[in-house]
Parts: sequence; C-alpha cells; structure tokens
Amino acid sequence: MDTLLEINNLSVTVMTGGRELAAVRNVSLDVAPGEVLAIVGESGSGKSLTALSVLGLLSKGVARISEGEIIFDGDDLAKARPHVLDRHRGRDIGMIFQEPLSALNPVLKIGDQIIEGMVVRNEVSRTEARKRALAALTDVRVSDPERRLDQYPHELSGGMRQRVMIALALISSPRLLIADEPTTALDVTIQAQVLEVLKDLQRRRGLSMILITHDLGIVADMADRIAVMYAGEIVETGTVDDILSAPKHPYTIGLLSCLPEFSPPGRRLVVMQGSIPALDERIDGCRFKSRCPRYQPGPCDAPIPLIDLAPGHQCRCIRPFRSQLAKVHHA
Amino acid sequence: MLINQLGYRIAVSLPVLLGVILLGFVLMVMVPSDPAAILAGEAATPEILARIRSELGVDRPVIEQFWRYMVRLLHGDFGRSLLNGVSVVDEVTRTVGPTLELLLATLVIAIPLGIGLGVLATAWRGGAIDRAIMAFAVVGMSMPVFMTGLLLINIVGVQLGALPVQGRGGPIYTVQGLRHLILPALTLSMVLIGPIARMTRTSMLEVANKDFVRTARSKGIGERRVLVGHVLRNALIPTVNLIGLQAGYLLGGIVIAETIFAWPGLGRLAVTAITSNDTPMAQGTILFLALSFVVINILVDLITGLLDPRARGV
Amino acid sequence: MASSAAIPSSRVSALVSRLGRDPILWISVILLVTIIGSAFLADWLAPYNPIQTSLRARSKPPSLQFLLGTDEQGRDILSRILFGLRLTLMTGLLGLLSGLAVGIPTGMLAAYFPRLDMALMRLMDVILSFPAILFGLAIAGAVGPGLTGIVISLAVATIAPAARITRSAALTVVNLEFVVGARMVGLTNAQILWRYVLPNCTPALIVYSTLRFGQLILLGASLSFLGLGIAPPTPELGVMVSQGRGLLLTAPHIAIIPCTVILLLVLSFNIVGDALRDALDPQLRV
Repeated sequence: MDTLLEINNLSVTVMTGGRELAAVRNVSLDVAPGEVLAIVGESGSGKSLTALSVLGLLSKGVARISEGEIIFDGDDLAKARPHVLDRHRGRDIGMIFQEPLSALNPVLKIGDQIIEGMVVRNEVSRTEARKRALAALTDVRVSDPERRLDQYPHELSGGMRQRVMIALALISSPRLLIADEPTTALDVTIQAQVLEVLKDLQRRRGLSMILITHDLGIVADMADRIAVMYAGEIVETGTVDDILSAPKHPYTIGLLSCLPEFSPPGRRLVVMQGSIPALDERIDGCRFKSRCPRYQPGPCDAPIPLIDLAPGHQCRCIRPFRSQLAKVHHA
Repeated sequence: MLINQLGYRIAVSLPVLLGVILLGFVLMVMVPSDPAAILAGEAATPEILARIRSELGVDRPVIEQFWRYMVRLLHGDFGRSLLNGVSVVDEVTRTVGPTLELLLATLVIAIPLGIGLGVLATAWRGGAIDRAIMAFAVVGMSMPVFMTGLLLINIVGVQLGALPVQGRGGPIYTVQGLRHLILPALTLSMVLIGPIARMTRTSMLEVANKDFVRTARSKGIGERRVLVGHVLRNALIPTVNLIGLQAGYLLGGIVIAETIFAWPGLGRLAVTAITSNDTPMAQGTILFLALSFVVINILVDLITGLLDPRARGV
Repeated sequence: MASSAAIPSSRVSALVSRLGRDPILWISVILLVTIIGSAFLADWLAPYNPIQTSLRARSKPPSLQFLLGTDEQGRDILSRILFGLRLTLMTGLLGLLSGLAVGIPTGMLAAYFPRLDMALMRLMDVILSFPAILFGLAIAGAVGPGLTGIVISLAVATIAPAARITRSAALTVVNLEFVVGARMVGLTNAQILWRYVLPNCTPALIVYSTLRFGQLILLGASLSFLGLGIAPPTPELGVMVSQGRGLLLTAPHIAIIPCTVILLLVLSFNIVGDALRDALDPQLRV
C-alpha cells in the first residue's frame, strides 16, 4: 500500500520530577494519501504526544523522542534537523490544536497569522497571500471574512477561532492535516459545525488526516481507520467497521459502551472503573490489566504483542472478545 | 481610540498631580525657616520683615494661603527663588532640557541592552551565559546609583581619562555634548537594565510555553522568527509595563546622577533648592519631576495599548 | 505560631534543600547574618570611636592598624561602617515596619469589606504613583534633614505595595468556607482577620519584605547621600560616600568601601528574597 506518513516504533519520554519516563511505547502507524486515521484514547494515553512528534513540536526539555522513526517524503522527521522540519511544517503538514483561543497569538491580527507561513516562505506576494487568506476563511465558512482578517483572536467566538485555525493550517495546501482534539474545547452545537467544515474540506481536497480524539462518537463518520491507544501503547487498530462493530480489546469495548449509540439496546451504560496508570507505575505484561474484566493472572502478566486478528485488524490482547457487537446507530 | 485613551490616562493621573501640589504646599507651610528672613538678608528690621511677609502672604491663614497658591499655579505663576529672585518657571524651563536629554539617552541605552540581554539569557537558558547575565542583572539592581556613578567616574573618567565626568558639554547633537552625556546616561541605565533583562527573560520563558508558540512553530517559519515575532513580541508587554513601574526609581536615579555628574538638570536643581531652603524653587521642581513621572506612565500606557490589542478598549 | 500555618512545610524543605545546592545563596545568607550581626554588635566590635577624629591619621588606605583605612578626618572607616550599618538597618527596619503597620491593615480591610475596597485601593494607587525619592525630597524639605524624614519616606514607599499584596492574598481566603463558617459561629471580624486572613498573607508578605528591604536601604542611602538624611559626624553609609566623593582622586577607598558594603547588603537581601519567592510564592512579582 502506498503511504504518505509512516511511524515506526516511536517511543516518547517525558521528564517528570527529574526522571525520564516512557509516555509513548513503540507505536507504529501509517497514513495513506486521502486517508483519515483517528487516534483514540483517554488523556494521558500518549495520543497527543504521538501527534506532536510528527512535526517535532514536543516541548523542549519536557518531552523527547527516544526511539523510532517518522518517515515523510523520504525524510525521517524523528531525527530531522530544524531546517528540514521547517521545510515540511505548514507546507506539507498542517496542524490544528485543541484550544482555539490559546493557539492563536493574542497580539497579531487574524489575517497576518494566517499568511505568515506563506509570506515567510516567499510563496506569494502579500496581496496575493491576503486574497488567499480571504478565500480560506470563506472556505471554512467564517462569517464576514473580509473584516475578520483585521480582527484579533479575542474578538472572535470559540467556533470562529477554530475555523481560523483550520484556515491557517490549510493555507499552504498541505497534504497531511493533524487535528489534535479539534472540537474538544467547543460547545456541542459548534462542535458539529466545525467537524462538518473539516469533513467537507478533507473530502474536497482528498486530504490525509490524523484526527486525535478521546471521543469515539465523532470518528464514526469521519475516519477510515482507527488506532486505539492506552497508556502509551496501541491496543487495537483496524478499519472503522472493525473497531466500531467488531471491537476485540476489552478497553475498546469499554470505551464504546460508554457511548449510548454503540451500546447494545437494553444494556446499561458501563462506566469504566479505575484510571490510566501513572507513568512511573511498573507494569508487567498488559498495561490495561488493572482495569480489565477479563484479566487472568499468569498469561496477562507477560509482554503481549499486537496480534493480527484479520487483515488490518490488530489487537494487543490474548483473550480478545469473539462476538460481534451489534452496531447501533441512533443518529 | 488613542485620543480617548490619552484623555482617560490624564484623568486618572489628576489625583496624583493634586497630591503633589498639596504636598508641595504642605512643604511650604511646614518649613521651619522664615522665607522673609532669607529674602531680606542680614540687615532686616522687623518692619521690613513684616512687609515682606505680607507681600508673600505667609501671614494669612493656611487655608487662604493654599487657595492663593492654587490660583497662582493655575495662572502659571510658580513664584521666584528666595535666593536670587529668578523665576521658578524660567529655571525649570532652563533645566528641563538637559534632564530630558539624560532621560532619552538612558532609555536609548537601557531598553535595547536590557531586552537584548534578556533574550540572550532566554536563548541560552540554564547555561553559563544565562547565569552570567542574571548575576549581572541582580548586581546592577543592588548597586546604589551613586556607586555606579563613582565607579564610572573613577575608572573611565579618571584612570582611563576617556570621557569627561563633570557638567554638560553642549547640546546632545554635538560631539562634546554626547561625550559628556555618556557616563551619566550609563549610570542611570544600570537602574533599568537589570529589571528589564530579568522581566524579559521571565516573561519570555512564560510565553514560550503558550500554545500559540507551538502554532507558530507548526507554520515552519524558523526558530528565530518564532522567538522574536511571537515569544518576544508578547513578552514585550509586561516588560514595557515594568518600565512604567520603574519610572520612580529612574527619577530617583536622575536626581542622584545629576548631582554626581554636576549635570545642570531639574534633579540637581531640586536638591540644591531643598538643601538651601529655597521653598518656591523646591516646590516647583518637585512638581515638575512628578509631572514627568506622570507623563512617562501615560506614554507607557499608550505603548502598551499599541503592543496589546486586548488593552485598547477603555 | 499562627503565621507559619499558611506556609506548607514542603516549601520550606524545598528551600532548605536548595540552600544545600546553591552556593551563592549560602554565601548570601552567611553574609546577611554576618553583616546584621556585626552591626548590632558594633559597640563591642568597633576597634575605634567612630566619631573620634585624628589629624595625624587622615585619609589612610587600609592597613593592619586601620583595617579599612581612615577617612579625611582620620576617623576609622571600619568603626564608622559598623555603626553606620546599625543606623542604616534600624532606619530601614523602622520604615518597613511602619509601612507594613499601615499597609497590611489597609489591604485586609479592602479585601474584607468590599465597600471600602474601591476607595482604599484608589488611594493606594495615588501613593504608589508618587516616586519614593521625590517624596523623600519633599519630606526632607518639610521636616528638615534627619532620621524622621527618611523613616517617613521609607514607610510611605512601603504602604501601597504592602496593601496591594495583602489585599490580593487576603481575597483568596475571605470567601472560603472556613472564614464564612467562622463568621457564623460568632467570631468578630477582628478575630477572623487576625486568625484566618492574616496567616494566609504571610508568605507573600515575607517575600515582599525581604525583597523590599534591599530597595529601602538603597533609598535611605540615596537620601542621605543627597544630604537629606543624618547630619555628619554621625556615621551613616550614604553620608560617608557623599563625604568621600570629593576625595575620589586621592583616596578612593573612603567612598568606595561604604558603597561596597551597601552593595553587598542589598545584593544579599535580593538573592535571599528571590530564593524565598521561588520557594514560597512563585507568582509574586515584586
């Protein structure tokens, strides 16, 4: 298969209290052109760190890539020098962040922020850049785009700011868009609108996309494939259908049963017990075992690899579920 | 918008000015010496003294004196020196130029140097350069202005003989004028460089963790542009504010630097007037120094408004 | 003691462990203790009478007989510095304490009684806008040169910032449940302020006072240097510098030594104050 981005065996460590702890463990992923890959997990699962690693945006002195490679266009972004990263940032790979207010510079005009990358790279003249920014704002359905160009972030609503972020990330027509929890900070109604904009742009432009989210509900009609992460590891990966209608890993099932639209009718919503283990907790074998209803002492205490269940469907569990979950769509 | 803000700042500053005027007046009333005696000289008879007192109005009730004082101020009449009869306004106009020169030169040295050192320290955070700059900053903040001045006079002026150490050499645009200006301005700069460097570093480190810096980095515009255009650009706001907060120390420094370097400015005039009991002159100079403090702070607020769109709405 | 309640012991232990790792902080603490200690033992430590002049020993550089040399009137500089330090420290302390005595209640009242808040804080703004040295000049003009004028100026320079810091620290507790509860069980306002609100303000005030004390010493010395403080021959550091100024060419030590002492004193206060702030109240910007 033809791939645009390939992450091999990526490990990321973070510094806490003077110690370096593993936060992402041997993650391998790939994204094909035009494909939408969703990375799903709770906060602390390592999904955002994985996404930030791609553009080399881990905070210096706080987190770093300790192992692995991130191949894009023949360059290994995991070990790339700053100027190589800068060549891909914005132009080949765009990124949207979770908090649309804090992700925009409060003292610069919206328009200037959108065109900065283009202007610095001398892609186009300032006037042409401004025209494109106007088109981009129109594209993400920002109201009154002409006026917005000269406004500051604090003068816009949360939904408008996130649309601005999308326009900013896509202004130089990158091939890959990384969206890190793009709608988490927004009101529910605004969420739907922003997702709609994202989906529309992705389809029209044939954009590849990595969608990071803790909300399985939003991936159903956006993603092609899903990777579920737990405590720094991928625990299950497969197509949307694989994961949503035939989940195998107890954690995936736990995540799904928290959502009304995926729970079998008549069953109570299950709230998963416990929480993600601390980074410095020493765990032998399955990292989910402390919360797992199917935990078996012995086999589950030895290292567990990702096991192929079907072509493209892998699961890190020696006792995966067999039965199919009835996929129930209410919406 | 700018005009509104200017008006607002001036309105807010009015109580301060009133406070200064009141204090200036209290000073006049409380002074133990008798201005009439100073004016009349050695050979004054009681009749002459009484006449001078009534001319000065110092024999009236305090409230009335204050009223007359206010009325005179509103007419631009700040009185005459008790020592040589020169008009206070004339003296102040004569000395305000050199003081502004000194202030300007100080800001021209201190702001770029302070910010530059702060940026350097941030860029080399935790390293030897950072530690050296921060040590320099805290020593600078702890050093009395008169010590900086005396050291510069002793080393640069006397031992190296490189620069003049006394008086003003002429207008700022002449070579002599500039040469005379360097040491006092350097002395005064030390009051600002340390705090500015520290504040620049602190706020840059704070801003560096903000999400929008990551956004900027994700645009692929290069680390230098991220640091200057986004991190420093935002860190300048608290730094400029700090200059306003430090304006008081700066004025104190001006008074001392002018005294040490015999700089013919407002600060030295004020000290001379106070130590020689020249009340009208003391009042006038203090009032003008306080006025310049208010003006500096209004300017700082305007610059903050230019730097930070969120601070613009009044 | 009630005041220590608001300082978590973990912070104190962090400070202690930092003391072990940071040699400059160590030196500053030792220097502070030494300077303050020797100033208060001046009566016993001073080798000579600080105001005893000697025509035969004028402007002598440091030697074994006069460790820091003599001034232009043959007085022993070491002895003058010890007594001068005592005066400087006492003046600073007096100014600081009087300023705190007005500023802390003002800040607490503003936080506790919202109706007073606006008026009190605007008043503080006015005082804050008045440059300390100008105030010093004005006071010296009004009450004449001397200690009183300096102490008043230092106090005034302390009031407004102390009130602001107290207010913002107090505001974080006045609406908490235990304060509201204390009111309901019938404690008087004064008791609540004293027992619950004040302790919460102490960390910020300790940091502020330490950092401010260095500035107050600088301010006091500057006023004396300008001739608005203590009159000679009483030893005072700023006055000593002022007198040595004229002899900078022939006997620089007369001016430079007291300068250096002031620098070391203020520097130590600043370094210790910075460390205290990092440990107790990292948010505080003084």
